[in-house]
Amino acid sequence: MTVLVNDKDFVLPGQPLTDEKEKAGRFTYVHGGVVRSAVVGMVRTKGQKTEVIPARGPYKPRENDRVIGIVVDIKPSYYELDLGWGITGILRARRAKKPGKESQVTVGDVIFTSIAFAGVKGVMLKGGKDAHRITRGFIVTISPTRVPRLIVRNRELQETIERESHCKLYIGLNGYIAIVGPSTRNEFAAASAIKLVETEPTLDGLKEKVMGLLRRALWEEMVEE
Amino acid sequence: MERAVLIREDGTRVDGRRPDELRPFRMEVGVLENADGSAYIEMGKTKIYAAVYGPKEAHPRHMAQPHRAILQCRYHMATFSVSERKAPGMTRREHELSKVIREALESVLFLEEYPRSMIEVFVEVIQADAGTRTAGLTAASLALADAGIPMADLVAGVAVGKVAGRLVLDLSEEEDKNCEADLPVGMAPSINSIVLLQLNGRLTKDEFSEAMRMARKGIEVLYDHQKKALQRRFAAYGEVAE
Repeated sequence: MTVLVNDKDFVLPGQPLTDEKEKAGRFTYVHGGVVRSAVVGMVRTKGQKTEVIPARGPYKPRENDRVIGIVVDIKPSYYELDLGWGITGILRARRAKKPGKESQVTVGDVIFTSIAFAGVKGVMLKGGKDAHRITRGFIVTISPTRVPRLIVRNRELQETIERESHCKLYIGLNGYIAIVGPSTRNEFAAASAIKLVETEPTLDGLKEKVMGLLRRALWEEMVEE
Repeated sequence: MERAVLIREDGTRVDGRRPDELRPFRMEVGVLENADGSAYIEMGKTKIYAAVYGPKEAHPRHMAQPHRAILQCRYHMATFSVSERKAPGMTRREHELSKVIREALESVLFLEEYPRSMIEVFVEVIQADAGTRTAGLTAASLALADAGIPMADLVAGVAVGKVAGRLVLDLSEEEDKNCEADLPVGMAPSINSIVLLQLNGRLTKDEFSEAMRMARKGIEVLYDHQKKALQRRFAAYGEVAE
């Protein structure tokens, strides 16, 4: 048994992690009895598994992930939702669409839901209470690898943005974030804060910078009024 | 017509390099903001950009595979990349090299991770001075790693040629034009896999073995620099992930 790297080590594709192949976790693979990294990222031991958190990269759907999808097609018994990155999610309609009747859901609708199943058969989304249609606000897109920055430490940054901008954020792990606020100005301010988190995730005192940005944006608004 | 002297009496090459010496090179990752992943490489006078888009929805949709992503690769030389203006369209050679680079990359990528989608790789040669397919492959592999596409290993490539009866590593344009044999090699060094191997001209069995040994040595140097380029690119990542 040899562990070749430590937790939080920076690794590159092909780099050996451990020779216990049963420990192969996400974004790793086994070659010649050795577990190796498949991406550029950071090593993390989760339970019995050694996995790699990618530094950059596309969204990979997982069961129970909260995601935002945009309805792109309506079939008689299900809806097709675009989750970005070429991924289409299937959301079953509660009732089959009757011929000649308008569907309750229309193309372009934004749905906040969870993934029920993700595998070779495709991505199935949860309906019913888990699915929530967002009817106002707008969506910003960020890199899926930056989303955890918003929700880490008990959603500290998310709550800061929500409190300061008076907007509600629906954060999809696929990188889509819906912002619903009392006015477009508030929503734009929240979007700027989210973009700051995406572009400057390593900034010292990021929370204070986000608060400052939002207060400046909304203070200017008050002054103009 | 008098042939150019490509190997001097002291064994060095026309540009002063030893037979097993690479040209000066430089690699950078994340050079293009609008692409999902990108890289730039200079090998001597050869200058190449590589960009990656995706995974994204496959187009045309009938090409989508239910069990894996499709990889599309476009190797293209800019009109101004060579001394005589090149027509801007894709030539037969460019189509061939697009296919060769795509197949080399397909052998290391885990395309089954992204079913029904498409990944596009663009290799744009800005200035050509021999070794563009191997340098393009090296840059494309870096761009894919930058885009976060899962892969078994980085890929690096270099050519070995036979010039004036001697084997030489990483041919320059002048050597390429006058060589007796040219052997471009692409490897994934960590998993010890050859992903690209072509041969123009003739080599004896011993020469081939020696050429492969030289190529491996050159590729290992390039591979080390690929890793350093990625480390520079993601220097601040550790702080983010914590």
